[in-house]
Amino acid sequence: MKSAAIELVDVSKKYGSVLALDRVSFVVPPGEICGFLGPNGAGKTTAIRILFDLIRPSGGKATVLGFDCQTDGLEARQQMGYLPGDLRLYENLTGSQLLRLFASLRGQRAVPEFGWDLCERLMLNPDEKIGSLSKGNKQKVGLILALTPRPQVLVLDEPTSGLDPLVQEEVERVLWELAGAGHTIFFSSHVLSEVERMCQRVVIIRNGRVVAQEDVAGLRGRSLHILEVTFSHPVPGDAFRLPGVQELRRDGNVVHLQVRSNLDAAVKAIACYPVVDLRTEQPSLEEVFLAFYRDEESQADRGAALASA
Amino acid sequence: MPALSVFSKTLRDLRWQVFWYGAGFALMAALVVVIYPSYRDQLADFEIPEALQGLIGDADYASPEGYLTAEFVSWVPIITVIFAIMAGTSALAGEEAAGTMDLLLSQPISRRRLAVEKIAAILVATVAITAITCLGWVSSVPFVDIDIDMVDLFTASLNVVPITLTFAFMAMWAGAAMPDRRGATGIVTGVAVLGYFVNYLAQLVDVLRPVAWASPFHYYGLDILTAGFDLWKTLALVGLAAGFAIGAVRSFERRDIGVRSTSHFPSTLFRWPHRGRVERAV
Repeated sequence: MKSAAIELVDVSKKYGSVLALDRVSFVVPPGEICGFLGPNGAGKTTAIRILFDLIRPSGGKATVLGFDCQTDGLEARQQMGYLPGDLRLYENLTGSQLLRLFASLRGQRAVPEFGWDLCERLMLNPDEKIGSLSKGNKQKVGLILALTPRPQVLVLDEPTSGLDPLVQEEVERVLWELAGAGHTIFFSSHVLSEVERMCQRVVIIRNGRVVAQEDVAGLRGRSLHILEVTFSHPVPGDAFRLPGVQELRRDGNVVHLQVRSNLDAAVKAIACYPVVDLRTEQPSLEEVFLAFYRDEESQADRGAALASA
Repeated sequence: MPALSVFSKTLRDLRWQVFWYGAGFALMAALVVVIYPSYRDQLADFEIPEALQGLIGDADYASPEGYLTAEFVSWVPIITVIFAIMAGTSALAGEEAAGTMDLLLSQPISRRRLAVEKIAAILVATVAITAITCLGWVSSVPFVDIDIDMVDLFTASLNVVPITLTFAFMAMWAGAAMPDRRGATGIVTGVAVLGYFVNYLAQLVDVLRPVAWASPFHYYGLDILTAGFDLWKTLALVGLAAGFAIGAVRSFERRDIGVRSTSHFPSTLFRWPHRGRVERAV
């Protein structure tokens, strides 16, 4: 069996009494682009830093291509590339000096040609000192450093943060090319439209727990529905006050509903009144997310809703 | 053979410090040698105060050996220890505080290897400072009327290496263990100042004599020009330095690498609602 590109099994991380990660388990299959989502402080960076053995888990096991990130960290990191979310570079070096330093850290005599190609494609002058670069250009350097060795598994913490739209597009193209060549890309982002465009799968984490890991299409389709129902005459104001159903707005006889998990309760409630038209819209990932994070339900309820979805 | 990338990077970062410390010492060395002949006669009559004698050990101030002990050998380690503390704390804690450690360690390099290459770089930098210092002797002693063996002066210069490395690796270890550069700098500077004065005052105050052994400066061969090289004291310092170096590697291998700050990329699309959970720097 081919081993997973990234696999976390019951990984926990405790800081004193605070549980930053609580038995986190997920799998990223090889060759996929997988998004890693969650609010600030949810534990995304903690999980990513465990993959690089920068921090050690309090329990559980993380592997990359079958190598244990803690005990076989060198072998794992040989196959990995990393863009930290809080990117810090040596300000007194130039981009090309940094590229050379990182090539030599990987035991390469020279910078792979791909590195110089990337400088051109992302429109970065590699001979400028890092200290004099703008935030966006520093981000390009960080990306180029991560991508240059063409690692099997790329872990990117907010890769397009600070980049202009043109460069963002080019970065996406490069990532597509790498994924097409069988490389695995695992990236965290707050830009949901980007995740929606790029990823086949997403892992969603909240308060140190994985709350969902599935196809983007599946997640959109199964966990949230937007309904636009036209009735022949006005219906009572409290007609759709049901668990998991939220009335978004009402224009005369037309009611817009957002329904989490399955449609059963909502459809039965709708059927009590004469229906003229019923449309369903596919929610954007953003709407799915807001539904995940905004409501006040307990995590147990959410888990149950997802499980039944 | 894998490239010593971290070693060369660390040495590169230290190059100007090495140059300026070395050049400063060389200049001072040449200066004290050059002015010796004009002071020699006055020195013979000079009644050296007891407090000052403590500083230079048992040396006769009028002899070239005594004079150079007081004017050079006695104060050089105070300055090199400053270099040591700066270099030692920046090696691990400094890199961590700057946030560059994440990117370094995300590469296929073990923490042990990284720490050992940094230790080697500090060792080479320290030896380089003393080597540049020796240029001061070479450029002055042959041209001045002073009766002293050049080899003894080289030995005396090299003799600051063990005490410097002791403090460098102590600082590196403190920085790796805490891990806080400022805190480590403060503590090791405190230890150095206390150690220096305990050792110095012990020669004047009997009460302190039994504790002088606890100061690293006790093992610095202050009397190297007058009494010769003391192998045992040097070995004691080398052992101490090695112990601190091993301690630095071990604490660095064991613990989590800190992050500089929380993610500073706020959501551009919407605010994540959070429910009373404290955001952590994780």
